[in-house]
Amino acid sequence: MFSCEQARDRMSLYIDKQLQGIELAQFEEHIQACEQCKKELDFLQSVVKICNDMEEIELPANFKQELHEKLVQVKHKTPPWYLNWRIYSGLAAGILLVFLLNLKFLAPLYKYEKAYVNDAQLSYDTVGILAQEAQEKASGDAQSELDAGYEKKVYKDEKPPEKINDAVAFSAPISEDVVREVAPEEVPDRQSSGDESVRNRSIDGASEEEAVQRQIGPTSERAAALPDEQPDDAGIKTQGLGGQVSPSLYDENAQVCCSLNGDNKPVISYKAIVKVKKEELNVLWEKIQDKLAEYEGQYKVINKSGIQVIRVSKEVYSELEQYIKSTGIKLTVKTVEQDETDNYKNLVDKSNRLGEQISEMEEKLNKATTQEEKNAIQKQIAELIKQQENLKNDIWELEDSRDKYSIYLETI
Amino acid sequence: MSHEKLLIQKCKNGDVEAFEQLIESYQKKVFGIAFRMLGNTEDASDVAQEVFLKVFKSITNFKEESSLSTWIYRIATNVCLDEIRKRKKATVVSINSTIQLEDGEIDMQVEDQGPHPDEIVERKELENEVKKAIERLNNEHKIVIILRDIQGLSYDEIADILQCSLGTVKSRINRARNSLKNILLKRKELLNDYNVK
Repeated sequence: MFSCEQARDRMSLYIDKQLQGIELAQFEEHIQACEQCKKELDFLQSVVKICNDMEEIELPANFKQELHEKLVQVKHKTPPWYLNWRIYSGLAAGILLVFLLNLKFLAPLYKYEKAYVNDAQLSYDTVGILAQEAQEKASGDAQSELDAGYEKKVYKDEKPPEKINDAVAFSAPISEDVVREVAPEEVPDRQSSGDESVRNRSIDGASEEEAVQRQIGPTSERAAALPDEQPDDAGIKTQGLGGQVSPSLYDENAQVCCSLNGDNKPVISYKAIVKVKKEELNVLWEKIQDKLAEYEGQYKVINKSGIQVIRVSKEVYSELEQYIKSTGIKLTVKTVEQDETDNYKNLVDKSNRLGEQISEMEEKLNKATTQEEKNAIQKQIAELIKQQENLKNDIWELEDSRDKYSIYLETI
Repeated sequence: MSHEKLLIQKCKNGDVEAFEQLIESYQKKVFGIAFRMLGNTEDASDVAQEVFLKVFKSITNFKEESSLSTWIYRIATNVCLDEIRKRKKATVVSINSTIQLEDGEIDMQVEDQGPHPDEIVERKELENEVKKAIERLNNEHKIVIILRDIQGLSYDEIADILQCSLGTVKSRINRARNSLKNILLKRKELLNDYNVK
């Protein structure tokens, strides 16, 4: 049977009819047996009902008229798409780029140089970060919980780039056979040891020549098939990576484990680092903000260690990247592929292990004889559940970042 | 082509009338979200209009991969949160004391001239208390309560709007409702103490 903590964690799911099978049975069993939890559930249900029944708020009298006037103003300022100069400049730039890439006779004159070593090793101080995250969340900083990335990475770059400035100077085209697109079926064979593949490009805003070698990540179709769109019903297998899965965490673990185990999809995200001179950083940021207005609802600005980072899908990123190139500002763009599969697996394993510990503690609780002993065990269970909650947030953050690009602006 | 798709096509050509038809059913909903997030009609009106202007300006790039409603709600959520952040920098909180409660909710200890605790159980008063309690939630919790319990959106829709996973949505809704419950219970305690004095 569930403990009170476990029952409380599931009250919302119960109210919203999201509990099923064994979990539902165990929850109802606890509610029948526990007067305190039953009262809490009744109270919560009545509060939710009050919210459900709240009346829709009427629009102010002049709302529609004011909006209409503003829409008309916008319409007169914005030309229709076929008169939009940006469309044509973008087309012209694209045609020129294709033409230049096709100049094969120029290719032997240039040699691609990587300014950043391919096999740079990154290590993540994940344990330390998790502890820090747990502490921050315990201190109840609401805004950081909303804004902060769930995982802060400490990068230990063991092979720093030899000459960053070479990347700025380099502006050569590359032959087509160097550009390699990773097909979705290739991805599962990839090493997931935490190695990053780093591609460096130099962009001269005045010239369309560029050197590109990058692996393009999973397609949007794969992204659309992400497990968090699967129904969380009892059909999902619970064979977690850690082996035994605690039945008390059936639903959460099923969902989390299925994300990796169900289809073995790796957890790949992308970091796009745009480096620009300090005096041009604000100008570039403002230009990007202006451009983002065209992508309302398709991007997210998150706060990672005090830095504003723009997270977008692959499709939006390629359009934004083109735009950034066309601003005329001298900058470099480095795309870093981040394979978080191992990290993800570790977090899921830890979460599963915590689940096992919670089950063991619950058994101890059932056998406890004195109130003092029960209180102590309940406190430990609450602490373990809190730790697991934090881990799950980290896991979900990784899932949220899967296949997405995070754009960082940095100064040279 | 469905009626909505036809209207979207017209909107991409800058047709204001088509746009107004398209957003007709969303105006009250967006205004409602803004009102509950920001707490007053004027700001809610400004923000809601800003939302629709953004939708109008960026509808050319609307790829129709998500549904129109989740796209509009997403923009509404983002604009509300941006506005609150801007305001936070400008506002000086002028109350006697604040208490940082669990999950970051802020309880403001203010002298209350409200109803007798016994009366609070009456539905209308409870509704007012619930509304006040929602105002006191932190932004993350407030938005999920509004989207889920007031607007009645599904977990999947909310995940799409907030661009996070289903698991995150479930967790946030649970924590938000717990926070709401705690605020209500603490308020009841405060009123009891006030009454005793």
